[in-house]
Amino acid sequence: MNQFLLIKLTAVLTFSCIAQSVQAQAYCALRDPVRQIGELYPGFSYMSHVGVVTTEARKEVGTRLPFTLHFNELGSHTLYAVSNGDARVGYVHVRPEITRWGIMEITWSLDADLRIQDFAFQRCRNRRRAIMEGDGFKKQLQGKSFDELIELLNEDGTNISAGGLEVSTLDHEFAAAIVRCALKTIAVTTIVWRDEVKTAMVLPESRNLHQVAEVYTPAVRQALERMFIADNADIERKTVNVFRIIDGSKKKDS
Amino acid sequence: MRRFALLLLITIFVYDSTLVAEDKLFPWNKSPSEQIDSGLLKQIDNWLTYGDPDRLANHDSTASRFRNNLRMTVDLAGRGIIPHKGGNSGSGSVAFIGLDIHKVFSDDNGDFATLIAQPYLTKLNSVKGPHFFEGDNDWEVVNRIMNVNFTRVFDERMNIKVGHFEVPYGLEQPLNTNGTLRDMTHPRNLGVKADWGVTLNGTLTDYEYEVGVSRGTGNEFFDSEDPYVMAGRFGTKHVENFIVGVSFLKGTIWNPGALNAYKRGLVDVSGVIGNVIDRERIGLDIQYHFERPVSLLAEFNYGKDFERDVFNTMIELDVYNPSKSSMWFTQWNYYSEEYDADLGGWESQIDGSIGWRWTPNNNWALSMMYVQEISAKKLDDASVQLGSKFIAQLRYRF
Repeated sequence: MNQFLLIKLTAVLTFSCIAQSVQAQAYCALRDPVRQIGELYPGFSYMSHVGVVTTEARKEVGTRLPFTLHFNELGSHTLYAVSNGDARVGYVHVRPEITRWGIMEITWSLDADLRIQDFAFQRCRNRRRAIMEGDGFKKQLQGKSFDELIELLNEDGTNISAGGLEVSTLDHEFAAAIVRCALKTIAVTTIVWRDEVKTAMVLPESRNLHQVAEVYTPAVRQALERMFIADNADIERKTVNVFRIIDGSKKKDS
Repeated sequence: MRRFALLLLITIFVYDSTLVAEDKLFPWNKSPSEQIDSGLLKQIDNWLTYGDPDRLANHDSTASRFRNNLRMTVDLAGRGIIPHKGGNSGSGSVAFIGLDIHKVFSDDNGDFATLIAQPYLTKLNSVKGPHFFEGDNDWEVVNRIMNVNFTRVFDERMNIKVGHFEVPYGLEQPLNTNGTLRDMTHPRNLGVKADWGVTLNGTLTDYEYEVGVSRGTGNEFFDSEDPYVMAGRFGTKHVENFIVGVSFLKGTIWNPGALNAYKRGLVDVSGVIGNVIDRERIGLDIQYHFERPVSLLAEFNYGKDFERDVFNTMIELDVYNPSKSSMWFTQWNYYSEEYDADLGGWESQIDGSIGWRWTPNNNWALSMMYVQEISAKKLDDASVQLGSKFIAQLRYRF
């Protein structure tokens, strides 16, 4: 009888290995980040979009980043599309990151063009989390696109790049983990929920954003003087950022 | 001995699978293009995850609406139990085959309800189960969780849940231990883990709550006699590292066969009739998550069964590896109830357990637990044989 049981169990173990799409956690333990959505987008409505993060998606994330998803990050996940009336204003997505303080889960809010708007910790054991939740750190990430975020990390993504972020040396590892999580969030959202997000994008999907270092060039100043607004004090010029958008889809082959 | 050998073989098999996983021997390391068509299970898996593409092409079809925002997983588990008491050992097992379904309902204005359905065919083999099993070798369809939570009646501050849900009380409410060896105090402290009824639940700025009224019959819904449960938990938000909750329960809980034990030591047994236990509890639960992946959990309960005072406590220490694929835990339970002074006053028992759960990937979970009765004080200091049991469970979800 035991031998028969052994054969049956071995057969089940062997054949069940073929299944690919997965979800380890019983679904009664799933918690929608409703509090964070309410805090990040007060008064707005949201709609869930369940997508499957496959091994193929994991591989694609690996081509865009010097690191990729952990195998436990595969399976079904939810992207929450946030709307104000009929207008899509952004997305909320929760993504884990393995750190030496255990698994950290961050609720990210992205704008319609998948730039970082804000974040909140859903689970984080690091006692310095309050520092990272403060405006001083958040403002360094807000508005950043995928291309800008990746420049904040060193080559293999294990630490922040020199001069990339203004954080205490005590928080370099922690800050790098947060940026890695942000990058994975944007990459996974782009890959898994491509159809959902591309319709609401203002910028072209294949764009590459480059920040312009010098905004007020001599030519711009000259033009402003011609319009008699060169000394207009209503505009705080130090806060003006200009980006050059390179639409990859418009590139010529030669 | 043969059962130990079987368990060892399964452990080695699963462990070896992961050791060589980087060599892409197993499908979870392969891209779909690298996988060969592996037959029936592969087809079931694909259908569970993606459905029939032809039928889903029409967004207005029933199949398409059913599939939208649906998670559906087959859950297979086998549990072996080896109890030991007074020099005697036995063995038994439980097999579970179930569906785990989670669906979010949405319209043009957003999400408005979430369905969870977990019907599990459960077969006992020489194991004493809860009262709704009709013997040690019975099988039942167990409704673990089966409810709809209406999330847009108000806003996130108040939702309405209808169906079969975990009784909102103590650590079980935020943790959910369904289907795992590790359990909180519900079965022994409350006598009911999940029940049919309705709750109000929600998240406030700094607090969370769930308050419910339910039938008091557990897995099945009976309309005989008048059992009921009113229970609720109010806690600080679960995203913090220090979480405190307070709970209450009042009710008459269906538990046929348990009444004779309750009559013993009561001054007035006239109220002990039928199949229900008159029960009250108040509880305090605490979770503290240390900076390294270590957590301390505790639950303290005080109340009454009929007119008998009860004090039950649980303390648990959890240690994880950083990726949480391994978890070690030790749990200590103290149960006590007060009998009439002529019978010897308080009766009490202390249990200790150590356990391990290993989830090498999203499919597999291997758990083992050893439970030992540490001490027991019976009425009139009657002698007691302390028992122990070893439990192992292999679970596969796809």
